[in-house]
Amino acid sequence: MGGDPLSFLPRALAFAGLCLCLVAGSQLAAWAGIGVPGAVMGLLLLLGALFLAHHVPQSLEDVSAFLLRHLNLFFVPAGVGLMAYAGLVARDLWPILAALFLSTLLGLAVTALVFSWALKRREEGK
Amino acid sequence: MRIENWLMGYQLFFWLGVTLALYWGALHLQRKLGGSPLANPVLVASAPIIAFLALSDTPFASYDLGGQVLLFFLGPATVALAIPFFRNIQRVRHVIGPLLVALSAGSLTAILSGVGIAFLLGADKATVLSMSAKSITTPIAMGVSEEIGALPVLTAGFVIAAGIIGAALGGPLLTLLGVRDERARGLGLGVAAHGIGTARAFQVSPLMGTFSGVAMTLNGILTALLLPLVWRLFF
Repeated sequence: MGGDPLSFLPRALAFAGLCLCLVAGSQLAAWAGIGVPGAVMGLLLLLGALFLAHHVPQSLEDVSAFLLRHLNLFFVPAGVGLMAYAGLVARDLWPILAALFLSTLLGLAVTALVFSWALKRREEGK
Repeated sequence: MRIENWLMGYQLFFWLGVTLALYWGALHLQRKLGGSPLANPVLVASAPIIAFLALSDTPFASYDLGGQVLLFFLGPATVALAIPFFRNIQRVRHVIGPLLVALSAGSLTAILSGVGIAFLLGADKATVLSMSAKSITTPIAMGVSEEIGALPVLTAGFVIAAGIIGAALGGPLLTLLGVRDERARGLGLGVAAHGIGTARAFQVSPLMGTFSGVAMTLNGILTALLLPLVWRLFF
């Protein structure tokens, strides 16, 4: 903080770059018409650019780290918005709880077990 | 006097300030509790706001003036997932084959079992649809939910709940199943419990966190590319 006000500029540009990827991604997704969220297309565009450039500019690194560290802040409005669905959640409470608990733990166990099995198989194959 | 009349044109700044203050408090609470996934900052910060809006009979639209400002950042933040992914994918390149096999198996299991259980137990169609994206990272999940005609906000709620469940119970479950390899434990947490699981994994070790983070982003990208497509083919 303080010092040269222009030192803020690279980060502002990095944020603008993220927004540019978002807009380009959204346009691409709409044009392709494959139902992929624009932000995911933007993510893929940026990823492609990073693989071409082989390195991440420090300002982009800083801005991204900030956004991702405080991702939870941006979800608080969604959390508050849940109040509109209190009736639906109350009605479906047991199916929701059963699906969340069983399916999350099942997905977790399957992933970890298959990965251990595949790693072991590959190491034995060598 | 109703709060939205009293605040007049400053509702946006008021709710933004309230949300920032509660989020700051929620971060401190979670730190005090040793980073427990149960003290999720989204839940801790939004619960008092919900209570206040309900008790004072304030319309959600008033809060949403401030809420929309924060939701705006979700788009750029989703794009920003590319940066840690770019760094981490190179660290897991040597095991990418087994990783993709395990990720596909786990991701499919999570989607099919979540949708299947909710459907079989007689949940509403909106609930079942919103359940399909519950294991991918919240910003991508909300986008996918919108694409398939589900309720993005409900999906966000499911995603956060799934993350807390996976992060809190995943470690003990994997120990019970005899999975000791940190890479496998991280991958499981990332596929089933996305960002909340990844935060938990980084508390254990950087290796576990790296695998969890890669799994989270890759699962999000692949699901976002395939789920709406599959959805259109069948419905």
